[in-house]
Amino acid sequence: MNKEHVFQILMEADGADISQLAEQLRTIVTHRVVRKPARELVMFQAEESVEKIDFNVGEILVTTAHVRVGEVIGFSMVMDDNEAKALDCALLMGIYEAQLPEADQIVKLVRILQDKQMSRLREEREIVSSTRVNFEVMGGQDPNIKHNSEL
Amino acid sequence: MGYVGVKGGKDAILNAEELVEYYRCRKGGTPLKVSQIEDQMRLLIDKIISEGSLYSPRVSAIALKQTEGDPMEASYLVRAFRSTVPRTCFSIPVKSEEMFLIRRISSSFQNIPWGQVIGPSRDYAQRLIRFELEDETEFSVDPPKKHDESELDEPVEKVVDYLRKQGLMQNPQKDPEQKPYDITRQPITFPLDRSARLQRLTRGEDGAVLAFGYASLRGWGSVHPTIAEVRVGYLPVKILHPYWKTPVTVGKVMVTEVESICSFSKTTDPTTGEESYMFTLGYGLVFGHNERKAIAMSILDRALCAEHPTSPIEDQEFVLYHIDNMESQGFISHLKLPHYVSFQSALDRIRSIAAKRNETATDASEEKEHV
Repeated sequence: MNKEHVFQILMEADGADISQLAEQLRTIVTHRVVRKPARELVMFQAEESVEKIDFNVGEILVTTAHVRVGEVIGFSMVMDDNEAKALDCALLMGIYEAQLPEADQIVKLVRILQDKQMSRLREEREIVSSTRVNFEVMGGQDPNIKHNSEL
Repeated sequence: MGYVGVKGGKDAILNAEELVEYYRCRKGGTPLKVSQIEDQMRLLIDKIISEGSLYSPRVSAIALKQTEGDPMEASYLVRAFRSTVPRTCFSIPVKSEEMFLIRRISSSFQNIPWGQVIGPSRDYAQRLIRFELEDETEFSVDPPKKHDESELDEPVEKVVDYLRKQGLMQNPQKDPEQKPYDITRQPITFPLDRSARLQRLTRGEDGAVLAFGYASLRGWGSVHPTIAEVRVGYLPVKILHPYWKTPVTVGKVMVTEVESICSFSKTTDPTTGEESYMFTLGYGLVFGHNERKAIAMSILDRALCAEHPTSPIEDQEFVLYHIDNMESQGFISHLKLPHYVSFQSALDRIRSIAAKRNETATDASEEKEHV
């Protein structure tokens, strides 16, 4: 699991799932909040498929935080307005990047969160799959008409 | 004559503000929780997110609560709030093949790779009011599941890409130098760059976009498409990490995407110069789950590509200036403000005309009497 993957799992986790570990490590790891949690905007861009050009869809509200742990700065960017989660994530990322002994606890939590996120996605996929459909053309297929049913 | 403002009325205005709060709460009951609005008014929140042009379910829910359920006013609040927050970065442009789909249908082809999935849709249900919801005290939903082994992050190829492979649609090459126009930072001048048109359309007011799209179907334009694909799902939000300088994913946003196959036109291959007939495409992508708007957007996107507009729906200025909720509601609402001076001027004019007419009439009757 690389650091980008750890970052993604922590940022996408439920705040409640990381707050306990963050609270515990906050008291034993020396750290400094470099930049308090702040609201920021990210302009979301997408590639459209007609001419394959990029365009601005709209902005996303995020909360970011920067926490120094040793020589590294842990950075977080979480969706929406969520100061507590941003601060927790920045602390955990700082400890993880600084490779302190406590980082093992973070990796352990991240593995649990990864399973949780995957099973949530798997469940959503299975729910959605129950609505998979194959419409039939009314009156049956006329062999004389070339249907565009198949790509 | 320009608008002349008024002053005064401070106390009455402040009291009116309080009165709004009073009317919001006067019937008592339990105050709505923002989380309830966010979770149970999903489509309304999506509308505000899209028109407010800010992906924040929480802020949208608060705005909706504050405005007593007026989505247009709520979007206005969201846009105002948005202007107070600094923009610190752009996301890495995402391709919709990466979408985690919860709905995907095609009205062009019966069988498409990965299949058609109805997902959460009311399209095929009867429009009957479920009165039992009045007595709902808890949720008891347990949707059926179907085992699915497909990879969760596997990209799902698009229907139009199959048409491209068959040479029935142009296959443009991406220009790596292209930078999207940003209508929130750059002035709007016509003709607008296509990326700017798409940005303007995606934040347009749902009803206005729908009405103009419908007008095209009814003949006030020439676009009447077949839907290649409607996709609803989650797209990843990726940014460049400020310290690592590598792409990282910070979360997901729900979007609706539509590709509409429009009429075919004569096309010249830019490399070979060969002429052939190919389908044209219209594109729609909006924040949240809003298929009507995304379909209408795809119609308008195509209609606005017209080089020589022959109808209002093909006129960029006509469409793009009138679909924005802030501008349209702002201009309509300003009519409620005191126009005493400008109206007084109109009153003076009409009185003087009337006086002149009376004068002429009196002169004429006097002349008649004299004769």
